[in-house]
Amino acid sequence: MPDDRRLAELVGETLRPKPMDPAARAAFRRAVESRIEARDDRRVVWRGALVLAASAAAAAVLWLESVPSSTPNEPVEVVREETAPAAVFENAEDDLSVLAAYADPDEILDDPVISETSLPDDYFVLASLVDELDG
Amino acid sequence: MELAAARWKSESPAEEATKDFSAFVESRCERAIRVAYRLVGGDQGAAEDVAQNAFFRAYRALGSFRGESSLDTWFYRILVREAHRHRRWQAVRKLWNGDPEEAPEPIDERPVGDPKLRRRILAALDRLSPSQRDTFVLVHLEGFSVADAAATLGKATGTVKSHLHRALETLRKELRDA
Repeated sequence: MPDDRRLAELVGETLRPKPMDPAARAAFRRAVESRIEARDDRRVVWRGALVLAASAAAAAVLWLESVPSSTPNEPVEVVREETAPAAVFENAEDDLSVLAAYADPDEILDDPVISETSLPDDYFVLASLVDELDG
Repeated sequence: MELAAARWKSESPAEEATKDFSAFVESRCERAIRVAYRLVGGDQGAAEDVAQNAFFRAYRALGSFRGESSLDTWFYRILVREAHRHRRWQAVRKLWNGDPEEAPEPIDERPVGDPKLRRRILAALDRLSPSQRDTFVLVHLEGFSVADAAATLGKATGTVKSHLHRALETLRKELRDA
């Protein structure tokens, strides 16, 4: 069984990295310096990006403030649409009253779609008789 | 590299190092790589990475060095922590890549005297806990005193002695017939 000192020597000799010549030391030092300089450069870039972002945000806020608002400032009069009386739907059997609420008889007569050719012939016969009676 | 010494408002124990960090790196790099090499399991590339990381972190933290310990103690404490970080990542990579037993051996470009003995020694060191390995490397391989090793590792001297005792027991058992 090796004594502790011999054991340590054995491990130390086996685990020994390659020795560094002056060129290797200089290369190592330059590698460390590059990392430090790269870190400093990154900090400059980040600071610049932050300043740019802040400027862009400020510009956006100023632009938004300058754009006129698209809606008028005066209060808008609310026009209520006429809605069908609730009773219309409660009393579905009264078809005539429903028609009266919505239909404008004059509008129907003025409808260009409704022409003499679209109504049955009997209608015009009866209409002419009524006209004659009215005189 | 020109150092902006004025950047660092540090106390006098760090002023010498801050004024010429390049000289600090050159004077300590060989030993730093050797300590890292022994802590990370004999991988030259990993040892250089760990040492570079340690110098980089030391540079960043130099302004906060208060001089309560020696600069070397402070620096090697950073180095040991970087070595631990590397080993943790190594363990994660081994798990991620699959069978840990198939992980490639550490790269060493030097011609190896006895590859079997080297593998046995690495395997024996792997059986030590991180604290045992740290204390064995610092005290028995790097010549730190127990007090210096305790200061570097942030442990009590009694704890360091206990770790050393167990490390030697394990290594004696593993390398009995080496």
